[in-house]
Amino acid sequence: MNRKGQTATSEIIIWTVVTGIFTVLLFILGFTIQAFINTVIEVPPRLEAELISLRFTTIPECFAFQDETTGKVVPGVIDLNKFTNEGFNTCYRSAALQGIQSLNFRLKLEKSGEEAITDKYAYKDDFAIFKEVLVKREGMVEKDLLVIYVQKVSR
Amino acid sequence: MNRKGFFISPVFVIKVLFVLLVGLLAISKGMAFAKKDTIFKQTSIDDISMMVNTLAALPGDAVVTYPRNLSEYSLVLDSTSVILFKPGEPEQEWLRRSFFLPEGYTGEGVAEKESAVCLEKKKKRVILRGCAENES
Repeated sequence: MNRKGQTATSEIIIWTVVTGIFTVLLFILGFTIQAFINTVIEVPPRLEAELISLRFTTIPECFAFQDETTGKVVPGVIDLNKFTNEGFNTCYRSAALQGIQSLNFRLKLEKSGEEAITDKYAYKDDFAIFKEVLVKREGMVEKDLLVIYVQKVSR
Repeated sequence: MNRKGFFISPVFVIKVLFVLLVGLLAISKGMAFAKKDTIFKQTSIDDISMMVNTLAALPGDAVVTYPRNLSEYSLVLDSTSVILFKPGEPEQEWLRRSFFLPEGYTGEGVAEKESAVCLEKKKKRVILRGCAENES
C-alpha cells in the first residue's frame, strides 16, 4: 500500500472510533437526562407513606374511635376492636392498587402488642413512622405508641 | 486554491461538520427534554394524588386550592385514580395515578383548562373542580 492509501485507512479507523465514541456519549447524555428527570419527579416514599398513614388514626373507616351513640369521631384514639387485618380492608387495600408494587403497612401498638397488616405485606420493613396515640379498650383509654412499618414499592 | 490563499482541506470541513452535527444532536436532545412538560406533568399529578390521600384522612370537610396554574391541562378524578393530560394529546401520554380511598369514599370531578384547581372533601366525597373566584 502506498503512503496515500495508508493515510486513508488510518483516517477511516480514526473516524470509526470517533463516531463510536460520540454515539456512546450521546446515549450517556440521554440516560443522564432521563436519570435526572427521574430523580426530580420521584416522590419520597416516606412522604407518601406519611400522607397515607394520616388516615389510620383520624377516620372511622380506619382505626379511629367513633362514639356509637353520638357518631362523633375522635381522631388520635384507636378503637382496638377495629385494629385487625380485616379492619385494614376498609381503610387501605394495596391489592386494589398494584399489590406489592404499592406501599404496604404493618401497624403495631407497642404497649399492647396488637398488630395489623395490609393485604400484601411481606414482612419487609423498609422504614417506620411513629405516632403517639390513645387506645380504647373495653371502656378504658390508655396511651400507646403506634409504629407504622412501611414496605416500600418493590420494582 | 493558490498557495498564498487560505487553504481548507475537505477533510477538515467534514470534521467540523461532524462535530457540529454531534453538537446539534446533543443540544436538540437536551432542548427536547427541556421543552417537554414531563416534569411539570409528573409532579402535578403526584401532588394531586397526594392531596387526595391527605383529604381522605380528614375527619371533617375541607377545600384545598392547588397552587400551580393548570390552565393548559385537563384533570379527571374518579374513585380509584386521577388522570392528567393536555387536550389533544394522544392517550399514551396521559398520566394516571392510582390511589385507594377508604370504604364508602368516592372521588369525582373534572377540571378542564382551569387555572385554579380545587379539591374539596364533602363528607365522604372528594371532588375535583375549578375554583370559585373567592377560593383561588
